Amino acid sequence: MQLEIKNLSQQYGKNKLALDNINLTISPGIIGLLGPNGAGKSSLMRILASLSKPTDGTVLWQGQDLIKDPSCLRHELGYLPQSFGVYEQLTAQEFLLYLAAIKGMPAKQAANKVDELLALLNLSDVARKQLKGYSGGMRQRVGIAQALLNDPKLLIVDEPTVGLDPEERARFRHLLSDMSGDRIIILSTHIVSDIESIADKIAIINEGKLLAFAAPEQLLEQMAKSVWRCVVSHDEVKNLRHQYCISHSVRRSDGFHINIVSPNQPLPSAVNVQPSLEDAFLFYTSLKNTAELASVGDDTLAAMPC
Amino acid sequence: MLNTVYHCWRADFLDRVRRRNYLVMLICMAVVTLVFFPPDSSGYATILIGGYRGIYNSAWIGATLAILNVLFLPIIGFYLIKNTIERDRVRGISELIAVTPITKAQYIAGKWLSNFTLLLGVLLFMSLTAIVVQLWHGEDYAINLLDLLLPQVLYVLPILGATAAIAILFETIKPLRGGIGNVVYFFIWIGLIVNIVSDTSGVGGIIEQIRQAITTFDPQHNGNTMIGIALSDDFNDGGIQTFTWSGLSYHPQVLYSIGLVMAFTGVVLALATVSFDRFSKLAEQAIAKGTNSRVQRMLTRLITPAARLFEVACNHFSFTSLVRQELLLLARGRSVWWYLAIAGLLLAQLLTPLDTLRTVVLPASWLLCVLVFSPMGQRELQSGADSLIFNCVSPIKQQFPAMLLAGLMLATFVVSGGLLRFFVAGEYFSLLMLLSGALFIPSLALACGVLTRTSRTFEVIFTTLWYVGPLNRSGADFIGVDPIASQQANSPVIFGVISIILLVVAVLGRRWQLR
Repeated sequence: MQLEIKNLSQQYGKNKLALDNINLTISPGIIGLLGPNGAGKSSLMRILASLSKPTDGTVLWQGQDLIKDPSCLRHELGYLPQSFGVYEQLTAQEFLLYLAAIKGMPAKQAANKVDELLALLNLSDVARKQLKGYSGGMRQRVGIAQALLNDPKLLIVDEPTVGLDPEERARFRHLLSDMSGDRIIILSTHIVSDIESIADKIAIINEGKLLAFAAPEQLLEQMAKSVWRCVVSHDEVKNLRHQYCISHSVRRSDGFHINIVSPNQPLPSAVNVQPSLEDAFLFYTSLKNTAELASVGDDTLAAMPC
Repeated sequence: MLNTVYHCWRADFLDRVRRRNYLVMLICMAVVTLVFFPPDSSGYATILIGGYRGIYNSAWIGATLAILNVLFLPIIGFYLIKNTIERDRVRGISELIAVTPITKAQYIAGKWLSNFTLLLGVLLFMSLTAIVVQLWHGEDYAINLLDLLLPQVLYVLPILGATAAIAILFETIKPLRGGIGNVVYFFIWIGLIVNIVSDTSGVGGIIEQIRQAITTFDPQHNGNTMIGIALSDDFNDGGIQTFTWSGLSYHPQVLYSIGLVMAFTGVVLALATVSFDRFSKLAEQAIAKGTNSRVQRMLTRLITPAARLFEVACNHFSFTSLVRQELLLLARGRSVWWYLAIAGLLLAQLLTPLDTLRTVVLPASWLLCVLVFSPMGQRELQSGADSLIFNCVSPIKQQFPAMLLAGLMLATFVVSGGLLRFFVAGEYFSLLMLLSGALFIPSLALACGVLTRTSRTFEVIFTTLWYVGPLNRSGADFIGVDPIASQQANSPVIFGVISIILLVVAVLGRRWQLR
């Protein structure tokens, strides 16, 4: 099972690129798509879900061209969009049965699956309540349930933890972990903690460009000697912010404890510390252009596979 | 295949039938049915053929209810159901549907079934009400369900099927999705009514059968058919004459007519399936590219100095600034061709003879603004910005007057050429009439928007009034097409009072919303 993205670009307006020549080959497992708001994650997700078409490039699902024939994927796809609506006068059970039917599931199988998912997502008690009375988190769980209805081979979830409380977020992460195996799960988020414990690979995207695509440990390894911690005054923080990528900052009685991402020691007092995925994410997304990425890659991150 | 269509129908139908506005619609239609069969003491009649009406037995009520439904359900029903695909699109349910394997034909079939069954519900409710009406009048207590329901099945159901299909087709064609489609459909319906009444295999056939039955006992009857409202002054001496109508006889021609309407429905659904974009973004992008940016740029350059001047003038006070923002909201999103058309009409107002100005140019100028005024009073709720807007300003004391003033300014602006002409010509009554019309339009829009929370209500009511009033020179003429008749009827005062009542209703409605 494989999803291949080749030279994918999407243009909007005259010269603006939502996606700029993305190339990825994705195998079964959980892929975390990480990027700041407006990075192009949703544009990529929508193309993969066959909701919109690129201006250039192809996407191959099991060798079949998804752009030319979106139907080759639709029976095997589960998709949770970033924002979606529901029929508010229906109950969660009725709504999920409706979506199961339009996904082509036989009635009996659909009824069993709906009950199973409602229980899994802790919605059994409110399954017969109209959706208009649901909170944001409950609606999001209905959204997650509908994405899992047809036991999808490719599951695309766009910002799935929006509106979920910490406990629900943790449960959702476990759910995805349990589900991964012989399927591809693409999870898009700008919250690093959502994916750092479950993703097999992470793709970092910003301004439509793919900046990195590697396993979390590879990303951390490549940043191994590039994260520095030091204690500085308020004024120094202001100056350092202009010169370096500051990934972490905490105010203490003795000053600001900050983490700086840099290939070189930024201050004599700075000590090397273990990098986090947040450091890697902020570092990559702080790069202004491809040339900058390439130049940094020469020093510390040369082997970053994209 | 059928399971998918069934669930597509079921979900959509349940979601709409459980809404309060469907219940309100049923109650309204029950009231219409009650009003359509008035007692003789009411002083009015709704259907007279050759000066007669049948006694209220099942045969008469069934036949005349079918006439009412064939004539008016296609228009009322259309506006009731025309939003099934749009709701999926606007609320984001389309995001979930588009990624599934459902085919365009399955989706359209499910949506059509939902539309059709909603209209069927209305028809059934009206038929049940008709039974109550018959028992209430007590002219004949024998309920004959076949006489009552068969005309609905043979004459009305096929028309409802076609209406359901046309509503779907309009939703799949982008230019017809919104308010323009609502206005276009109104004129199509007006155009079709004459054909429906004269069609001998449909309603025309029912009327003809009744007329022949009357001829057998009164060959000298006046032969006229009146469907609408006739006051007692218009009746023949001695009031309404009644007779016992024994019921319709059905000819094979009726089946031919049904087959024809069903074939038409099939063709419309096939067209809708082809034109449905399956919520494709690409289709929208392609349409977006079609806008004429060069003309737009030129127009922007022309308007900018005046807009700047207006901005400077408004920015001194918070209220005038709010009025300006409301005005911008009203005008925003219009196509460049709309601005050009308004500019052309303003020029025509200055150049055409006064008679043409009254009868053609001024009515056209305001008709062109239907979609500009229709979002008034409900835009905040529809866009979900109500919680932000209602917290920022006082919705009753500030925002409401600002909306009204913006609407009044726009309504006045689009007929400003006419106002100037009337002033120069010394026709002060026409000038006053036009100003009262300019107040009436935003008042009506605000009341419709606040009370019904949809732009369609204003679009339908305004277009109907526009057709009945200025175009047919009736008492609903809010423009003053016939100044003498308007002066005799004291129309500026009447429309002024109506406007105030509408505004009070709108304010009360908004207060209720805020609670």
